Amino acid sequence: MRLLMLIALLGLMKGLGSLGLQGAADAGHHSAMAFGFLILAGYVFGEWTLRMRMPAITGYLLAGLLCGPALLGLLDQQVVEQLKLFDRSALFLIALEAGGELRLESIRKQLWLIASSAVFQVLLGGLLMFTAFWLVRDHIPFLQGLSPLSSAALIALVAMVSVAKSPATSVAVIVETGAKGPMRDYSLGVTIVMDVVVILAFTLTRQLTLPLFHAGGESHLLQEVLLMLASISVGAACGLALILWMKRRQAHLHLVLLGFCLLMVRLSHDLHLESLLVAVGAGFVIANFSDKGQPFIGALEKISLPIYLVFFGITGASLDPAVLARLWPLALFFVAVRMSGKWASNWTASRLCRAEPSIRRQGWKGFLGQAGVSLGFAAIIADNVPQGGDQVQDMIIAAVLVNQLLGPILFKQGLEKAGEIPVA
Amino acid sequence: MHSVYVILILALVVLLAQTHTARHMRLPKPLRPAVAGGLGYLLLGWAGGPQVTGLIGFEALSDLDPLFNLAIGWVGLLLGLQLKIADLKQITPREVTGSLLHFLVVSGLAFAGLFPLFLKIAPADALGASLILSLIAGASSPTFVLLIEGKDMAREAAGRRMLLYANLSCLYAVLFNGLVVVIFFPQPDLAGWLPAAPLRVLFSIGLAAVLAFLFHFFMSHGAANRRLALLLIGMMVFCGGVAAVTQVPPLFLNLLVGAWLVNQARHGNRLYHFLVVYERPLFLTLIVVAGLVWEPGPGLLPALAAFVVLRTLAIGLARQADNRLWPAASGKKGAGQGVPLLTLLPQGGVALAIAISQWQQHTAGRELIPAVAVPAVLLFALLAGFGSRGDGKKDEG
Repeated sequence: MRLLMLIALLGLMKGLGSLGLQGAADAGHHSAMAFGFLILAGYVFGEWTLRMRMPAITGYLLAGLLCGPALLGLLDQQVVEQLKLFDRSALFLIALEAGGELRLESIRKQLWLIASSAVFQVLLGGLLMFTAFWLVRDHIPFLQGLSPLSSAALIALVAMVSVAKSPATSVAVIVETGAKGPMRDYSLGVTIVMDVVVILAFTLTRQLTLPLFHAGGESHLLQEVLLMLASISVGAACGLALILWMKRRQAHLHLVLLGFCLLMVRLSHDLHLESLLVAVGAGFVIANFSDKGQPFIGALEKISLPIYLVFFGITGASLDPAVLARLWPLALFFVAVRMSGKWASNWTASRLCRAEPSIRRQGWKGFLGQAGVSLGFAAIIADNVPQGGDQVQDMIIAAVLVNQLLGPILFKQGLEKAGEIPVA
Repeated sequence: MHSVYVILILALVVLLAQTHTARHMRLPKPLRPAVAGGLGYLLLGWAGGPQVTGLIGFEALSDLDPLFNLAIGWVGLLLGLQLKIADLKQITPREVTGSLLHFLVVSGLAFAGLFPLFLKIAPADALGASLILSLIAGASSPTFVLLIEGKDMAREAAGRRMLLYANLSCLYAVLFNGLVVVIFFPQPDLAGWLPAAPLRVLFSIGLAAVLAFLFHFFMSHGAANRRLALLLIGMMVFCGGVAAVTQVPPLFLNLLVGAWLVNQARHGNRLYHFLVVYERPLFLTLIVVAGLVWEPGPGLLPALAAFVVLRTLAIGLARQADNRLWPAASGKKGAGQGVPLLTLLPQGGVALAIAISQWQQHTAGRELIPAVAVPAVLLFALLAGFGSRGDGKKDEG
């Protein structure tokens, strides 16, 4: 019935358009209607996916995909850009929640496991991807006509993109399911560490490989390291400021956090800080160095649902299924190899550190989601690699679509199998 | 400096100042309602807007359109959700007649005074501005009335009646605003398609009914408590978009949708609870935006003075008339004497929302309406503070 109602709302939107009732309205008004439709569609799709034992964010992604420029075209590229302010703020709040969920105690327990898993994901996962693409390089369109050295450089960049994962996806599934246990702590810990490691690894690879393409890629590893340290420090300082605030005033904390988030997103952007690390730093300090962790998480949870819907809806709208239809063999190859890499690195790390069986069997499922970071890396490759860069970007967009749809489902299933999702 | 910095830094300053004044300063009694009611945010918006510092331009506001729709939609839906038939049945015909007469007297007197004045100041916008402002004049704020008079007011029969009048005045203002805009200032394409005003009215009501019917089905299966908030936000933003395209006031659409849902949908009652959860941020957004859009033009001072004086006189007169017409309504002789004559003076969210939606929809008197209505809200809060009985400590909402 709700699907019929959605179709009816769509018909109403189209009907109002076809009656010529657009004269006085600018694009913003149509975007408001489309944005409202996205939220309603996200709500309906989220309910369905929940009923099918999948995470609600998969529903939000599907709703975004449906409303995006590629399918219904309700949210065109311009509208998606207009909504980026909400998108970035949502990501910041999600990262703030991730930091708040990270407990020093559980990190200490799993320190070696988390560190080795992150390192193996970069080294082993990256190597596996590199080897797989190198072996079939004669059949890969974007490698045709490149010298062996250039091919190796481009594959290395692809391998580093494959390592990246979506922190927002992991956090959203954890928050949504209310999971508690070692696998949840492990996934969260690796997610945060990977956010740092992946950027450093990609920057290093970029520095080493881009000169081969005679591209002027401006990136300096030291600069990146300093910026990350600065981001974490700024985040920690913000966390302390928020603790002081919470000690003085508890009322309407969710409103204060929203304002804080908008301010920090803008500030991080202008100071070239990594906003995710700023947020994680702030959340981590509040949760671990004060007694305000509970009210802080409570306030974030109050506003988390609309935030997830907006974030994943816009992410869905930014994806293009047409690219997947065109490049599906290559994209599926990338997805399969990446999945194997994640499995292998998780298995190796958990064997070495004698992790619990649930982590050894299910842990890899927490690292499959891929979104903004990977798309950002893909855009950098497209900008800097004149031959084949665009094709690499298309392949990654197609693969992200698959990973982002599969990732949350498998992660939720993994948490379920690990017995960490409380029974409702 | 970027507008986001400005608005947030100023918001923090206001929040800190409000906390400080509430804790450490013994504010004069008449000022307390205005401070507690978040009117600092009104000044904040004004200070950051193009008229004072120019730190936030009008063009930056269009990026936040969905947020404005949410804030305006919230006011309309909240009003609509209070219109449960079972509750409405408890209102006596005398109270309905009294409140409607009260509203019409205040609006009518305001219109009679404002129209000739606006003909001199802004002839092109005279009819639109004076009509909408007179409807705004009719609206009181039940929240502010309670804030100013204190909770004891609700224990007296006359106080309860005034609260009911304040609630109903908001309803009348929104309904009449919808009708006035659709009849006199329709969207040009809509007017071309439906030249007859009654048909446009039917179209607007039909549109609201269709939306309400569709939203009704979204709610038919129920949802977990937290997820219902999503539905609400989606509904309000969608209604805002439809209102913007058709130029039917968003408050009007949301009010009708809310009224339908609370009476027809299976979980309609729960919606009200969720609106209250999101009340504070949306109310503050509305106030900040009202400050931002305030653009004093030539002739503002006489218009503002006329509006304030006329409305004050009209409210006093209407109240006197009401007391004389229905003295028994106060229960016993002498009851209601403790309720000040100008109890219905303060205005709030509905007045601001009508002014902002008028500004947002580019209809008649776009600049003039918020230019008069926004400072008037501030002035009435201050005026009502004098002679109030309450301590102004109740939080706004």
